Amino acid sequence: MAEERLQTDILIIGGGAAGLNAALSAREAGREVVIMDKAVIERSGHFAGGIDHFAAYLNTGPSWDTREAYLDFTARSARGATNLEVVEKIYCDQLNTAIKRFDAVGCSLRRSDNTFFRTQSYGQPGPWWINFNGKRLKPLLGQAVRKAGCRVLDRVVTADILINEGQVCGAAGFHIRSGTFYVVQAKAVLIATGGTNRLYQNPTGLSFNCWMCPANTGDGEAIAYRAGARLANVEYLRMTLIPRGFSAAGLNALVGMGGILVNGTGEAFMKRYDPLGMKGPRYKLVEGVLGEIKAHRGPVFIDCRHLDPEALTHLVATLSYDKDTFPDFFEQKGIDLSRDLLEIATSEGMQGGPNEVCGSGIKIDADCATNVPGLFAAGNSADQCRSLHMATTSGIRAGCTMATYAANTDARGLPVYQPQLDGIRQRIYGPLNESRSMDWREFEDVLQRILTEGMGPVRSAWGMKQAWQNLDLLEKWKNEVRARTYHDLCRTQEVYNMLTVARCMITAARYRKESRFGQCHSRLDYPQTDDERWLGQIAVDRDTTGNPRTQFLPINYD
Amino acid sequence: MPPVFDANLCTGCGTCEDTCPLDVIYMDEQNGRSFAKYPEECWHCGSCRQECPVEAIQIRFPLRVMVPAGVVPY
Ligand SMILES: Cc1cc2nc3c(=O)[nH]c(=O)nc-3n(C[C@H](O)[C@H](O)[C@H](O)COP(=O)(O)OP(=O)(O)OC[C@H]3O[C@@H](n4cnc5c(N)ncnc54)[C@H](O)[C@@H]3O)c2cc1C
Ligand code: SF4
Ligand code: SF4
Repeated sequence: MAEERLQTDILIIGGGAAGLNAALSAREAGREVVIMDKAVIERSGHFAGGIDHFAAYLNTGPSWDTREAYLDFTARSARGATNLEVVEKIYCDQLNTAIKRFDAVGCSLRRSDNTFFRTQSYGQPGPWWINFNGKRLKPLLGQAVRKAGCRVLDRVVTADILINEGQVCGAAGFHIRSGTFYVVQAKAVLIATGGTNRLYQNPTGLSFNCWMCPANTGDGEAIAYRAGARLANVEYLRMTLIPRGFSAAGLNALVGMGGILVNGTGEAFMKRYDPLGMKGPRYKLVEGVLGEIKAHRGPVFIDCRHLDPEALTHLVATLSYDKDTFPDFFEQKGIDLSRDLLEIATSEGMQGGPNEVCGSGIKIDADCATNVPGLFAAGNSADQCRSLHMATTSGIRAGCTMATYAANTDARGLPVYQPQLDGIRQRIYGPLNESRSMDWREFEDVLQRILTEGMGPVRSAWGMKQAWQNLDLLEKWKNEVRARTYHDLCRTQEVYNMLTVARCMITAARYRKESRFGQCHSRLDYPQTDDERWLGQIAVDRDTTGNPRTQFLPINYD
Repeated sequence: MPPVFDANLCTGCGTCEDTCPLDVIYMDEQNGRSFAKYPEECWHCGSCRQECPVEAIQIRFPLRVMVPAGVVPY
């Protein structure tokens, strides 16, 4: 296989919201930057097709519009998972720069009259969500990064981080069309690969018909874990509400603009599940829909018919900014929101943080640094970050701290360690071997069945043990998976990485003997939230035998 | 299955191939036009359609999205 070698100060793995903002900040600080992305960065990742909300407090006067209110809400709503010192440094301190960054790349958060259109949802104390037209945000960011002089390796999927003498010295991957092996030597490496999807069965049977981007498959978490990094908050399941059949983002727009969930008898039922009703947290909305269906009061719909024409127009437009094909779905289904109810269902599950202001994944400190020297993480693959606002700000923070790190003598820029490289090569290209016969889809399907059965919204020690044992059986088939193209080789690496994340997820969930954040971690055998014992994170890393091990890290909110 | 290409409009410029986050779209070596090589890996994100300079792409949802019957959640 052909090989390409490059050298740089900073290597960014994943050119999405976090990665591209990190790249711009690192360039501003004068560092050399290489970005590796498994797609082409102008249209890759979660908001390839568009995006429509950015969460911000703007200090306009009311007490809800302040840093204190944001931190207070985060502490209450993500209690036990969020680390406020980190949030303050990676979000609050970078927020102004982030808002300016949108202007600088040509995708302002403001309307043409210079004001912000703001909506409220998910239990937040005020209208923190700035609505904007982010349909072109991704191409604009991509172009800005190229213009800033970053070297971009499009369609190069990262397979592993390179370590020498306990320090990160680069990463290796391959091109998903040509198969070329890429080795990038770097003083600091950022993982910004956007979280883990496709872990759970999709109700339609179409694995790629999922809420979040199906190209983000926990690669970064698995890579970091193999390199010795700690993961945290990975026990949590995340679900949303979707138009039945179409697993699309858009709930925030529907709820934020005043849509109301009703059951089969036409009753608005959410107050039964949360005092805030439709303004309650996302997991409560999911709980409400599950509850109504279980009680045979389904099907469940969202009713937008009472909205005035102007609000409806805004809603339909903003839905199309978030998911470009929403209008096609309405048209092909014959749905008109001013006239019809929209049937709602719960989405597939995913591994994710508890809510919009707290994430899951690689454990970071206030510098976005991990426990492995030279390795940083940001965006949805970092344990503290979630959503566009935190992906953008953590990217900015990481770009700055990595620039400092790379200029420092701590970053020695060590050469790559050849035996490690040989091992990675062997592992990557192994599935091309003709003696193998299984399709990655079959492997993925079984993995999803195992997680859906044992790690869904109702968990128990017994069910999780069974899931673990099933993963042991599945693991034995790993070396049967055959890739016939480099595209399929990429998918094969994805399902392997998903398996690694699944292991870490089960390990943490079995360890946490309580329930927290509704269906995010709901144990039949330990149904109560137990702050006395479990107020904090479970860190998972790899022990010397290669198995996940846990450590409880208490968090103090006083 | 999404996306659907209008062969009469497509100029074979290759833009859509470069805009797909899931590597679904390839160029047909015989006729120089784009096609969905991995249609079941489409995320219905609409990136290809937005970028096609001659509006040759439509999104047509698969049957299982249109008729989502049969699965009882948990
Ligand atoms: C349709 C949709 C709408 C959304 N709307 C909103 C919204 O309105 N407001 C909001 O706050 N949040 C929204 N979100 C969430 C938001 O988009 C994410 O939180 C944010 O994009 C996370 O940024 P990220 O950089 O972590 O991930 P991404 O932006 O997804 O970037 C990850 C990148 O990593 C690449 N990658 C993955 N694996 C590898 C690998 N192994 N090697 C190389 N590259 C790799 C991917 O191709 C991708 O480009 C939405 C999400 C979706 C899916
Ligand atoms: S972008 Fe449009 S014109 Fe260009 S190859 Fe694709 S379908 Fe054809
Ligand atoms: S809709 Fe999105 S995922 Fe589907 S082919 Fe077009 S660009 Fe690719």
